[in-house]
Amino acid sequence: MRLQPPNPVVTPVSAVPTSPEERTEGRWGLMGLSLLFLLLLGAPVLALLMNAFPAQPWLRLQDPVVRMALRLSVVTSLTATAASVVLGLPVAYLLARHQFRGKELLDTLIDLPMTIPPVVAGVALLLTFGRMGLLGRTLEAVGFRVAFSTTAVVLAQTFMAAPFFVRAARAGFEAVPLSLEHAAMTLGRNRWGVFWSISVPLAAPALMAGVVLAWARALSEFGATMMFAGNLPGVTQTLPLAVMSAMETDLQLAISISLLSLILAFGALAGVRLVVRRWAG
Amino acid sequence: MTAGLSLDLEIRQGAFTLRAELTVAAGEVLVLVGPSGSGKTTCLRAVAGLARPHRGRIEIAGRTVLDTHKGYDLPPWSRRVGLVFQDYALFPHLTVEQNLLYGTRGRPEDRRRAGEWLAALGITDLSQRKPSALSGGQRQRVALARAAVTESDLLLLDEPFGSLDAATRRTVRTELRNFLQRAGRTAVVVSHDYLDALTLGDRIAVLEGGKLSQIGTREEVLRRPRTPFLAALTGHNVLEGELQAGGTASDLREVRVGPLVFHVAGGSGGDGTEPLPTGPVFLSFGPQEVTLMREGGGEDSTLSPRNQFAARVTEIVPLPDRLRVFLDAGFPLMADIVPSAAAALGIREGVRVRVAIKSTAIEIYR
Repeated sequence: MRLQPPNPVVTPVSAVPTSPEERTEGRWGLMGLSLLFLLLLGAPVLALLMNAFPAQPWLRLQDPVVRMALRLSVVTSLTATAASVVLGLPVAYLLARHQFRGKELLDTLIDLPMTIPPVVAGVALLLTFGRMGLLGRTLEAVGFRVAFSTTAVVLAQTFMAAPFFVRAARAGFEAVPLSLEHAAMTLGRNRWGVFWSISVPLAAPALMAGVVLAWARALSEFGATMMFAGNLPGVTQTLPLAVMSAMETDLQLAISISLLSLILAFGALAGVRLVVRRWAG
Repeated sequence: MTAGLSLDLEIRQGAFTLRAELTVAAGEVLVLVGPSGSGKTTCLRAVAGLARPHRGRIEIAGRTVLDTHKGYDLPPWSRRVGLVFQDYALFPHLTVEQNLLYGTRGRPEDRRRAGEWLAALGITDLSQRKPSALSGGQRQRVALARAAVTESDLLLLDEPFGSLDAATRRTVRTELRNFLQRAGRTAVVVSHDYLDALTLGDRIAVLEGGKLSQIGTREEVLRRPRTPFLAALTGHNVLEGELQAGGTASDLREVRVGPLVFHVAGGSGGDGTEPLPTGPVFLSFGPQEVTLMREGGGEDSTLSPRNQFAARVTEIVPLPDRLRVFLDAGFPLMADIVPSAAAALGIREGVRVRVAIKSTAIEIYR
């Protein structure tokens, strides 16, 4: 038998002490080094703006090619984002909360579209949904042709964008303390109820970030769309594809469309930042 | 009368096995104490349905919520159990009031009940705040109120003082007792602090290394601790020994502890109780009952204690008004001594001393 002294009373540390004057010597050096990075990212944007404005790009936006591409891009990218959320939400939650056989494999599979060249993804999609493809043959039999249609654009964008949403959403769900979900369950809510009333609201900033990332990826999708959906104005020609087509004939038009894409992306990013900040605040 | 809670569980986690069987009467408050890692929290989680026992049966207020034999296992949301988490688990995106109403259907009577609990715990003015704007003590009150507002049959409190500082603990202990009285529900409180157990529980169950080592009323557990853990918590020395037959004198019994023989008053039936039969018994005595003397003086016949033996000082811990001396006499022992006496006796770590314990100071029990 052993006798132990009583447990000492442990007083929890209430807060990490913060010094009123943080040391900041390293700041200027780091800022100087960051300037190079800024130059790399900022210069092309500046160049685009400088070249675009003298050509009065707003006049070119009336061009039917531009209007069709804009409309198609907005519709397909939003549809692809919505599809990414619907398909990705359960996967993200599964990965965040459960251990299972094949989890590593699923994890790797999700990373794949982010690492392979988009053109390769396009080829793979074509081999799947094309007329002679793995699933395409069956779809063709029931009168469904996917390749080189607007559906193909959405599919290509979803394929490329969904992993970005899943990654962000998973991290968001993982950050929700398990004890909160457990508390909600003991308070009488089933898993479905807990998911929507606790997990989703608490992961909301991460989910929003995931939506933006996915949407940005869908909007900028080029390679996979090109291979799998083609470049048909009004049907599969999204803004990036329109830029490429315009480059061959009309440089000023290409610059105008590029500027439009830039503004679209920038506006969306700023808008979402605002939403997230209000949400968190 | 149906029991408030009855359980019989076996949970395995790697090499660790938890086996517990206990019954809590309706309306009774049971405190489950034990060192960390003894399986207390696992036990609570199993009752709430958050952990799945390998084998077992749980009945809450006469309703079976788990019976592995029949493959019956109610999910947490159907068990009608209010669990107060150690970290409170308040929903950060909801206000205090919304937290309280989360487990209800939000009917007018639910709102009224929530308001009553807020008032009872003195946090009415916090109802529109978010948990991040609350202090630790306030958060705990919200967590208690949230568990109480639901119409649960059983309240489970996991280390209710675990995350509070010492000053807050004292006030909260009293509040919690009032809370449990007011709730009037069957409750199980898990704690590693025996003071909690003393203030809160009608009965105390001791869980050590995955086994229930003792269960009884506050007085029983305090005066007759059966395990070293509990003895250390209550500040008692506890020895396990063999009660010998007969005895030298009619009013003293002999108990063999290792190579030593202790002479103990009581247990002989002289006080009107049944004489203890021979066999394994526990001896317990407070550290203040242990007298220390200089080694080498031989048996001091001028002193009445018959229980004298040698021991080595292993550690000296200063307490506010005295020193607690830990000794090794072939078994561990604690003795309390005033600093001046310690100086006079030359007590240091490693020194050998003579130990004496009066036979009347030793409690004997089975």
